[in-house]
Amino acid sequence: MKYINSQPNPKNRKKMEENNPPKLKSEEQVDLTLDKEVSKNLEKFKAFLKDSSDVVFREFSLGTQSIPCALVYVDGLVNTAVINEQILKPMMYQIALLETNLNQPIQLDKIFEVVKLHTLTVGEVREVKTLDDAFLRVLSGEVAVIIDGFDKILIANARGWPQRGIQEPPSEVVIRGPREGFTETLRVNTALLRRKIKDPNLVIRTVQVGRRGKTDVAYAYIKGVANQELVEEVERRLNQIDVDIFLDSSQIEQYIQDSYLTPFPQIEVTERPDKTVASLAEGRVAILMDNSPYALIVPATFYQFFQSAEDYYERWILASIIRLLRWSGAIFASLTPALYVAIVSFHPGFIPTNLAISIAAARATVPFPAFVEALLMELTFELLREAGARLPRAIGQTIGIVGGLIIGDAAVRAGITSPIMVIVVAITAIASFLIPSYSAAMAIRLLRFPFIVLAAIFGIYGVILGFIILSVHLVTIKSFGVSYMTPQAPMRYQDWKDFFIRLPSQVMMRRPTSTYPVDIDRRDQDPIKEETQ
Amino acid sequence: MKERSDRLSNIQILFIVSSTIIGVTVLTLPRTATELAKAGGFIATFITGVLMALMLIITALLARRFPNSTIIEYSKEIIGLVPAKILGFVFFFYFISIVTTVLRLFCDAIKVLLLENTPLEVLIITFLLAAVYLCLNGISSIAKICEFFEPLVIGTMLLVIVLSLKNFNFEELLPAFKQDIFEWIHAVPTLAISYLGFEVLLFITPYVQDASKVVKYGFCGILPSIFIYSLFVAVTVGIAGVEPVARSLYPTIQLARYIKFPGGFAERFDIFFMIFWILGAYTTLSSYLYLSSVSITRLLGLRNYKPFILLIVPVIYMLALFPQNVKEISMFSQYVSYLGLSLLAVVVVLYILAVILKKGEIFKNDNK
Repeated sequence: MKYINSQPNPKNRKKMEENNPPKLKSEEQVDLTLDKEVSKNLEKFKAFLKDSSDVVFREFSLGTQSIPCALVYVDGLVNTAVINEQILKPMMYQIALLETNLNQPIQLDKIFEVVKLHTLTVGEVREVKTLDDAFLRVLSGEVAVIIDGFDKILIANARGWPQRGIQEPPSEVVIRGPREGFTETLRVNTALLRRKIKDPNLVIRTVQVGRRGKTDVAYAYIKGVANQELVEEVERRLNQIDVDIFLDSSQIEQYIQDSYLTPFPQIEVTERPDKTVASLAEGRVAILMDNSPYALIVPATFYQFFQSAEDYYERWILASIIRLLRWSGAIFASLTPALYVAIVSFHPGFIPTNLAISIAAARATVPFPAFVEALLMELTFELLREAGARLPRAIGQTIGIVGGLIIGDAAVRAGITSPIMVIVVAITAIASFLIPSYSAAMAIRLLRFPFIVLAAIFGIYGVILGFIILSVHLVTIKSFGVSYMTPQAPMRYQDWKDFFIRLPSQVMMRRPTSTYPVDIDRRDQDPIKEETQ
Repeated sequence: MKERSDRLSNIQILFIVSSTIIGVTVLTLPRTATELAKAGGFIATFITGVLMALMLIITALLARRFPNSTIIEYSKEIIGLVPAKILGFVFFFYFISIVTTVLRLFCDAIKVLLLENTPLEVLIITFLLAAVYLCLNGISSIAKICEFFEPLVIGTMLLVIVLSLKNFNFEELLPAFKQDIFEWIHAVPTLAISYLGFEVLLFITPYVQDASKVVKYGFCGILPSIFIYSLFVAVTVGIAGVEPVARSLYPTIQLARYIKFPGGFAERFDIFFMIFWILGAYTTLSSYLYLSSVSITRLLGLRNYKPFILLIVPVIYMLALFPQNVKEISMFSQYVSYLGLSLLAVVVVLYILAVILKKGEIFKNDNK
């Protein structure tokens, strides 16, 4: 087992020795190979687990010959009904019945096979030959059945623990479309995928990540659709993670993403099985983690963060208009305050004279320059948003009222800000919430602060300078080898069908080319492919 | 997964060429054309465009013969080591000068039109550093930025042209048809600077996916500039008349100023136009900055061009501050234009020599 045998990192050894941890008895004495005697094997388990109150060691005897046996399992991770009815009852009672009926005891050297093949009425039973494997199995909720006379252990799957049911995903609500969301249990999540793709080519492979956490991380792809290089890259990146404990898939995301020097998410995150399956069908790879209701989808491009599952369930014309709205939302969210500052302080001639005059009149009582005014109000908005985000619902309303009064009315009356600025803040706020992806929306919304600063120094020129630098930054990002700004830069006209607008599904028979899918066409028969052959 | 598009695609060749060409001079081109060719400015612009397109084809043919190296290397094969080194140095000098010219013209325009009180030095430094940031990310990023910005730039320019057609008066252009053909030809060398930029083809072939398509897509790259330039000259003259255009500093901005923003949202369309013109100028400046650093790197036989960008930036900064007034700048740009044209003449000679000496690769079935 790694955490028994593993040497501490040589760099840290000195420090560890300084701290001088009290050495575990087990660390010195336990021999990790399995013994033939039940009591000795049990001792080995107990050497590690006896201090933990949730581990159950149950000793009993098997059949008429009273062969000593033992069960080891973690209470709370197993279904006790299964243990009682399907493991203990057959082994303690029914096997004895069988022996009396047959009038002959089972041969001692065959007892292991008999228990495995005839006695345990549990779906998933396997043999393990090392203590290492046995520990991993027991601690992830399976039952170790130790039988005297054999240096191997039977592992019966009797998992069952309290879990959250399938609920509507709170962060991605749709009006039309399936309402199920991922849960914290990996098996439930993979089942949700399976239920949508009954193709044997759907591959769900599992690796264990985390030195101590040993969390199951599954990555799913459709063989024959997803590019093999991509799958290998995902596997490589998952395998090189070396940290002890993971709590959520977002932490996996941080370890496998391409670059951490950017505010933009390079991996798409979703709670929706339907969205995950749609991505699999586009040749992407989904990464699911036990204990996390969020699936990671790679590779991700910038435009994906503007797609919502509902786009594909709604009529295409409406979906296209809504998507255009989202793109303009991104522009408004990042640029409106900066343009306000630039126009008010540098180019009042840009806007109609009447508007310029009314802005000037409204700002006459404001003691601050436009830059300070904008910064102040945008910061206030961020304060309120952050305060409201984590409060219980009952108190959250208070924040709403206070925010509404402060931002809306009192600030204007007190002469701290102009009504126009309040409108600008409101537009920014609303526009930023148009973007379906929470993390992308946050990145875009935070961009407005550097833009405000640039606008205050250089006016419109500063805003454009900021836009240029932002664009250069965006085109240099890659997600699992795919350029972030595909299909715009590099240009891929085929993918524009699902970019600013969504064309009818009949037109989008080809998968997006940016993921380099093996099978480019969604249809069974591709008329174009056949023509060229 | 390694992206297969790290090499430049055909579309990217098109966009690099067209965005290197379309840049700063859009603002002043109608003035230059009208000063030299009066009402026939648009015809002169068009003729220049056609001639430059021919030059582009020759340049691209030369580049295509040596798909794995830049002109700095393959000129050695054609004319020998020492002349090739001299030629390479002239190229480097030319690129440095054109970066300087573009930068200075750009910053002057920004100062006059947008930021009167900001010191010129600050404008130069900020814009130059923005271009350095892009160049440090390599040619594939430059290509992506060109793809990203160029549709916006061309789109806005076409929008300005279309929206101005309302006031267009065709009679202003009629005197053009009474003009002597020499009046047009006479304007060609000066106007040619607006079409320079396709020299980039001589340097990017090692990075393209399919070098055999360079001629076709390079040629497509110059087409937007020919049409936009000719239309701009025609429309400015058609709206304002010959004399006002010839006297206006930035006639294109004047043109945009006449436009009423649809819906009355903004008073001045010219700022809107400026925004996208800045993007156009940025792509031009970045390509030339990249070319100047790559040319000096290759000239010294090195591979990594990135340190050289940082080395030449102070030089460009100082050179850009050197001209004292508009007149000196236009003289400087005039000389850069002539230098560019003479380099193109050298390219033609190189191509002819390459054909005669049978140097380089020859593509046969290229029009597939």
